[in-house]
Amino acid sequence: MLITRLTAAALLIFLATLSAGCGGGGSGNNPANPPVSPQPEPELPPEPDPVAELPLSADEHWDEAKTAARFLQQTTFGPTEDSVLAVLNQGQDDWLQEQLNTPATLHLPLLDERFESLGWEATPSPEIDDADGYYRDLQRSDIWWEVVLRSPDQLRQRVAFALSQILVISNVSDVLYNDTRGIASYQDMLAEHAFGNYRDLLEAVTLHPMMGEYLSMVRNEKANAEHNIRPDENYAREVMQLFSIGLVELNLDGTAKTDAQGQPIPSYDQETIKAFARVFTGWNFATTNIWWEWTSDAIGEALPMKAYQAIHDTESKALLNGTVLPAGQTAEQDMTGAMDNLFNHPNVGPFISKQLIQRLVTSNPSPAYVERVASVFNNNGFGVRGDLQAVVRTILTDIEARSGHVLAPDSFGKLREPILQIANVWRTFPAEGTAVYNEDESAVVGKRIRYLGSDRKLGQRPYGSFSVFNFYRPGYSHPGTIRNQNLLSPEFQIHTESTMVAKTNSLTEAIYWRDKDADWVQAQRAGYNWDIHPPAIDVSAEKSIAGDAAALIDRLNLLLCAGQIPNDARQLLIENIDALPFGENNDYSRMLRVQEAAGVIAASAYFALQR
Amino acid sequence: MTHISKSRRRFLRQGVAACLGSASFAALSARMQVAMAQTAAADDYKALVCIFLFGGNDSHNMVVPTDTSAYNTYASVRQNLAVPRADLLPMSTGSTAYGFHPAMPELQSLYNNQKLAVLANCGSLIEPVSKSDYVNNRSQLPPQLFSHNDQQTFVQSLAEDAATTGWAGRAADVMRSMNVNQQLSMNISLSGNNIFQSGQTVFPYAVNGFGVELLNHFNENSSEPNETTRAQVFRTLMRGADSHVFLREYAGIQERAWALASEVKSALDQQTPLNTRFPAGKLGTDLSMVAKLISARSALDVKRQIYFVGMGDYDTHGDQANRQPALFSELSAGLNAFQSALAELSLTENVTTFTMSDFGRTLTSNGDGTDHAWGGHQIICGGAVNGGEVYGNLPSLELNSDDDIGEGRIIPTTSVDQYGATLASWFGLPASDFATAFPNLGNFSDVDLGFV
Repeated sequence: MLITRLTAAALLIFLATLSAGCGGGGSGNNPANPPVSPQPEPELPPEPDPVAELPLSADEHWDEAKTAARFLQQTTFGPTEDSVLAVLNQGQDDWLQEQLNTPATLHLPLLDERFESLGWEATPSPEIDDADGYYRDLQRSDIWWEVVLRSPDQLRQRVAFALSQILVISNVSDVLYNDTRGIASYQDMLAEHAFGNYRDLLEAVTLHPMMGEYLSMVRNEKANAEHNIRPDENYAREVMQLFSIGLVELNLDGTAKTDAQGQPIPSYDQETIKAFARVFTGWNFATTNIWWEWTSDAIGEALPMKAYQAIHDTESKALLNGTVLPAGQTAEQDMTGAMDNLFNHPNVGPFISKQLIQRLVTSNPSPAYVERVASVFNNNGFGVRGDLQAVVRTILTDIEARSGHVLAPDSFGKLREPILQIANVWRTFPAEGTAVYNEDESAVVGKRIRYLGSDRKLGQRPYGSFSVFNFYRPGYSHPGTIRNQNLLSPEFQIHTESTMVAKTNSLTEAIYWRDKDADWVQAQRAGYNWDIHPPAIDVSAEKSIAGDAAALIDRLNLLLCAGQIPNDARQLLIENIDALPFGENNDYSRMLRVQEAAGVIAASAYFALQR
Repeated sequence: MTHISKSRRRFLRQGVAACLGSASFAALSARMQVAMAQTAAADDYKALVCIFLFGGNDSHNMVVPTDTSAYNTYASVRQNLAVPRADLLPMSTGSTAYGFHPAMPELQSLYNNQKLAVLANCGSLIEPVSKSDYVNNRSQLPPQLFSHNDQQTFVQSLAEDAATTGWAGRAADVMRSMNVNQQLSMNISLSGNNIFQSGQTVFPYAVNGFGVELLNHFNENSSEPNETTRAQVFRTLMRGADSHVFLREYAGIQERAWALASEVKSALDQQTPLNTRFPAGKLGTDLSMVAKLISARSALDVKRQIYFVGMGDYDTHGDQANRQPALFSELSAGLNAFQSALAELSLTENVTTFTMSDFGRTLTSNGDGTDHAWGGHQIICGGAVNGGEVYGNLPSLELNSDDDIGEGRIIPTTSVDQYGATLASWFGLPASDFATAFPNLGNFSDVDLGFV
């Protein structure tokens, strides 16, 4: 709806940009961009001088810096001085390829290490009690935040976060309580497959014991007619509705197909669900030895489930699009057949592509944008279906991602989810963990990003959605102007009045009186059992330019709002800072100016929006 | 007191029923005025409180037959999910031999004291459906039966496609003028945005159970000059939001939240704390907040309110035998505490609380739980309720009966439109607006179920 027609000129310029980016090398690892055949060395223009300092609005590189910061809003947990300079100097395409080649920062080894540093067994047996489970989950959450704020694999973690909102598990309900290692391992699985193939990811998710527990596929048995017991339909339903094909048949551009009466066409029915429910029988934790053994130990919760043939339904099963799994297959054979059947359904490309676009770039991609991405999902150019690396690259380099703010200035983009907002603050002003004290308050156990309680403070917590339907639905349209303009706005679903106040407070709390150089911050301590405490932040770079109000606002505008604060608002912010006292050698006056400027910007709608 | 209000109820109900035929709003409105004058309520205040059981409540274990033959059918169908007969808490009144789940003693007591009614086998329907209609694809059905979010949307909106408003929202659109306070929404949610309470002009105001938080660092009346200046800058930025639709909407929510937080908090702070102790857990916390907000009705200057409280985790595909008692216990104790708090406020007659859920669940077991189905029982509670009775039709629990479309998925015999319309007529929705609020109501003969 945003961009149904592109001018030929715009498209040509765009294609030229793309091919220039691809030909430059640095993308040899990906089948989508094979090494070009030997050609005469082109005449290269002289290397420009690298940009050494963050440009301000009067500088020659300001527009490029805005473009870079905007790109980093879509690809990371928030722009930083270093990342903006890296994109400026490396070029967007090389930076992107470098990110696609960066291996995953894994949580599970970090978590085990942390358990050991606290003197806890990483994999206790028998299972630990409830209170310990809570302390263990605090450590896992600390690691989640420390990784997204500091790890080099920013794009991979950002895509993993997006995937965690499509392939949802949550420990809000009791089902995953005490499964700390399992959740860490699930997160690692998403990160490792983020640039892999969706077929592999779908099977890994299906066999992950956390999904097995969350959607009750683990220990699901074949029918027992005598006891009126039939296979559990939970996973069978949701793997179709949410993880692969969706409710209705889709065109390649993500719009619904309609029948002769103009009605959408259901993509499956209750009989299909029952057939898939029979596929998903006979799976249990890898550490069980016999079917009835009840183990949900810290080792088994991080290993793919294993099959018990005697419990598996071996009748034939009619799946989607006329595929029938023959009778007599093993659980593994049925699994392979069912995963292939789902993965090859034409809906998967548009269904998953559109949601990834919504998580990374914009709530309202045009059908043409969805189609361009879904086409790459269907075939990466080398006959491979489901290549997520190619999909992610296409999403991020598409003309709509790069120029949507110019083409549709009043509607392009997305409200950033609360977690992305606070992460941006803590990356831009590098967060220094809070000193967490041990049980008797005798010693610091470490400096931690302690924010497990973010559902209370922000209305959102990683792996903490209310149900498998995520924090918000991809089709949510906020009542009022947004709905009247037929726009989708998923993240608005959790931006109610009460979360708006709590979240705005959390953003300002993250900034006011948090300067790590101030002695009052050093005095803060978080008890071992606290689930939330804002870290200290490093604003030394901002303080160093605080005497120049315009420079300070430019820098904050760039790093927090991708330079998109309009001029009148910028002037207002500058005047407000100019009116504050300033002493060249007065660090306190510098700190006050920084927090006044950053606090108001972070609380504003300009910061909340990614466009 | 009970007697007077019951006759008033009956009078109103007859009025509504009479008017539905003639669509005579003027007549109804005149009758309503008479009715209100007759009862001369000291407190002309009414609230509906919806407790939404997210995930699909397995109500076949909430209300269970107790007579031998019906119980045996239940037990043989439900197998390892069946509640032992001896543990059931019998309903001492009413015309049917049924009992409540053993984790719900408070419900039993409310029911036996005529403060609570059960509506049997209610569910999403566009028109009445028989098994042969269903099997032969002859009837119009709500979209995507058995799917969580689609059915949550349908039971809240009653709209067939592209639902954008819910029945509580549509009711509020026409009744909002009854509240002097036009700043605060008539519909207050303890569970965030939802379609149920969204209308064309009314959208839910969301609070959380822990109270109303004020915006820090932006007090325009602060004694700190930095803060007042900052607050002014903040407001200027908000009002000057550029033309991006999301930006303007965000700023709008933020500004409304900013204003309402102070207003609601100050109204709450003026109230005497309630003595009733609510059980721990989200439902108790949320209902306690609803009671506090209701206690502040005069300070807030409101006469009609609809509350929405969500309770999660009813999607008991697995481990149902352990999870269900905890859910039921929390629901029963929470509802009971809420009734006590209303008694403390002398408002039991003025507030009607009712449950809704995505759908019912299968009678058959999937091993250790149940799957998505269709019809289910709901409970309605309050002083105005004609309690101690089961309304609607209790279904056969035989597998493959005429009520069962397979695996014990029971076809509802009462629609959500009828359920909602009965509640809305008590609430005072003008008759002329029923067709808008309940678009499928015309397909059903009984438009007032009589439970309130």
